Amino acid sequence: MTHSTTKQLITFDDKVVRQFMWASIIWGIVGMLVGVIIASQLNFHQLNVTQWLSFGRLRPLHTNAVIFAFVGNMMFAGIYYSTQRLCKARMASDLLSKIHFWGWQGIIVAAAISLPLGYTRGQEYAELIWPINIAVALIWVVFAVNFFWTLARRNEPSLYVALWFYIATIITVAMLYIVNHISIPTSWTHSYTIFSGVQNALVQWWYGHNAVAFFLTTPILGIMYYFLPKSVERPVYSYRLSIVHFWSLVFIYIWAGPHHLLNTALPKWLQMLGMFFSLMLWAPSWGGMLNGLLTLRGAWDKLRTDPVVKFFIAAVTFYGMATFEGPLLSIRAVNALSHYSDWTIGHVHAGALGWNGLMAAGMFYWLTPRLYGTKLHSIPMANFHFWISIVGILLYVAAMWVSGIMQGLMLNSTNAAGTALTYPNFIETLTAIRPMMAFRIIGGVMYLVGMILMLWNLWMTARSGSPVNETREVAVIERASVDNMRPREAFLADPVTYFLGGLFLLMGWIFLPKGADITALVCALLFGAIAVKKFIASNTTWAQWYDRLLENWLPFTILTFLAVALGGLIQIIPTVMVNRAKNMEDRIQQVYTPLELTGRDIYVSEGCYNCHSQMIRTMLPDVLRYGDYSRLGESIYDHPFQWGSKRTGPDLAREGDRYPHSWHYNHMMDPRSTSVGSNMPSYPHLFTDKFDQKTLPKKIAAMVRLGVPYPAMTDLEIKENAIKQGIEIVNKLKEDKITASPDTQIIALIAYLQKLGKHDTLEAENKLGTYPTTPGLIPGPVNPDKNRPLSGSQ
Amino acid sequence: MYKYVIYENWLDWVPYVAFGVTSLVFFTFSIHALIMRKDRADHLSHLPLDN
Repeated sequence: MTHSTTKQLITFDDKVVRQFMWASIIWGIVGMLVGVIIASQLNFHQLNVTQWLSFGRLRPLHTNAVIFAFVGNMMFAGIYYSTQRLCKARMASDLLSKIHFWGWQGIIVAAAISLPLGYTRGQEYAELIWPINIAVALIWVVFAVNFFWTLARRNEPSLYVALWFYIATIITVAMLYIVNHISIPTSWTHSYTIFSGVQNALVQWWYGHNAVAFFLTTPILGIMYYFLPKSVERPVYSYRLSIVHFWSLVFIYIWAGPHHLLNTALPKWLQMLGMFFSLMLWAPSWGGMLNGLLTLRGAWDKLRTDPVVKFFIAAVTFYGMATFEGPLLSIRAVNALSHYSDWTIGHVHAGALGWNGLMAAGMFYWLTPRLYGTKLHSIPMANFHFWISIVGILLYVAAMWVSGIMQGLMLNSTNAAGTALTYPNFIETLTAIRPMMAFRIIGGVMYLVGMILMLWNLWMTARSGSPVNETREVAVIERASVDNMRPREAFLADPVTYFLGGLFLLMGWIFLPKGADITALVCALLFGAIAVKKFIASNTTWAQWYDRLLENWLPFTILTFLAVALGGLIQIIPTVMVNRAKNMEDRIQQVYTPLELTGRDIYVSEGCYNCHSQMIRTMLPDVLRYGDYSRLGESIYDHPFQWGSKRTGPDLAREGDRYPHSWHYNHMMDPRSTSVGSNMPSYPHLFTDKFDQKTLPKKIAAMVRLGVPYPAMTDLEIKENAIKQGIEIVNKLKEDKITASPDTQIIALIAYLQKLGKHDTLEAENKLGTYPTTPGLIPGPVNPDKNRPLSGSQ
Repeated sequence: MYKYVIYENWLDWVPYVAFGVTSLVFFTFSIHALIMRKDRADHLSHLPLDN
């Protein structure tokens, strides 16, 4: 292929890189400071000074700030810098770059205000309210348009590996974010997700897991593929390995979400799929790690002298460690111990602080001198930052490992006969991990100090120079020489045809009835033989197909989209279609009354889900501790689901009617009065603030639209119903000499808590009675599908 | 169509099918990686260093 050799001087837009870089550092410090505060609140409940700064409201602020503000801005800085160089073109539109930068910062500010005020959707890493969600989607589109437009105007024919990862990031995050955030608004600050129960749990963790995959991993891998070779002045170790590991990674990652729901009521086939694909992720993840580490071949001496290389290599090592640990935690038996414990928190921070944080630091130390045309202010200070960060992370992660395993073992421990818990009091397990929570604070503070040192070092570096926008002479290519692959060439080529044909026949082998399946297998083998013959005869053509794909951004992007979309579709479509009450197993959730629904919204708003789950797993210790294990039908009207991901407090799935109203009243007023040693915050504002009656009819209407079978009620009836139930609760409280007003938030919250676990039964007791291993309500084999009716009985 | 989807045995096969598809993706791109010309791979891997 010939390309024009016309030369042109271009100036890159490095201003936007500088802006994103400083934003990342500042938001990173803010996010990590909030992290230190909430870690301290877990040990010292007195630090929950006001409702706006309580753990439940600050925790989403911490996660969102670190993920979307710190890593997000870092990612954009890296992408804007490297894309321009790899495309040998300035970003297509300065205006779009500006809108992207300021729009993203506006979103962060909106999140920083709305989350402490208690405006949340109640789903992890998807807490932002719907107007902000729309802003995120719009700004992401602005970014995507600018990026792909730049690709289309590039002066380098081929798309380098880093760009593949950026493409995968942009399209996948858009897909995940839009699907997971589809909601019905009830006001400007509140909405209900359209998914409920198991649908919601699956879609949420499809999104949540892949936020880790496609927001915290793939763009950073792209950054690694650009900045690591630059810093060591060596090409990437194996370009071939990068092809295999890219496609394997983007194809496999999307399937792994259900590993967050192991041992729950999620259908077993989905659990197995999640575990299976998580285990397979080991290979492509380590392909990336090895490619990064081995890029340093012949330049290991730089590891001693160059802080940038130190940060990069430590980051890649943490990536390897975290991606080894992730599949390990996805093994169902290991997950039974680790899930709901601090082990998961440690794992996440190995990724966020180790992989993302160190990668960001390495990139910033490399970028700043170049962006300001000067030298780094202090190499010793950068080295000190490195070591204090490493020690901080290790302290943090080790503390969480010990804490998680200890609490997991204590919570799951039973006597030899398996008839009683060794530690029946939840608080015992909480008290045991308190020292580890203190070490976590120390580790977090050390990491934060390192970040502040970096800010100072880079600020001084910037002051010693002045902003530089790099100008470079590039060879301009003829537009017609790239991006000219027609759809027919891209998707009806031999490699695609034989791939899909082989797949189709293999499906026939699996699904066709006896006889026909063997025929399909024979056909598949014959087809494979023809493919091999064709390949041998024209392997050049097959190789050229991929080469051409690399010079055509649109077919490449479509192929990447197909790779990431397939896994999600296979998991989500059957689950979304099946979650109807008539198809549910033995129990159907009772519909919340208007007051209970209001209480649930308050529960979500206060971030109670950050500490309490509402999903009793199909495990003997869980059942002994919390009660009968949760069925799929018990959360079908929950928008959003509350299955949880961490238990700093006990599970609440069977909380209803366990304690009198007065217990909940006192517990919320002063948790230590009812649970000695509890670290839960007090909620004094709930006793004076009134619940929202005005939007209640709209909320019920939204629920009806979502398929919840409420009877027909006028707006007035809805409000009267709420107050009437409130008066009933107040009267009960009076019996225990407690005075309260029926329209306060505490009354609504008590109503919700007392409803938890209530369901209508469909021959449930008969079914339970047939299990030979069932003394009362203890499950037999840990199979969540076992209570579902056989297909023949329908 | 999906009424009884969670009760049917064919779902047990989904992990195997998924594994089959993954294997095909893996082998397809492995073949493409292996047959790539060395000079082409070298050129592409040097792109970040191409100032």
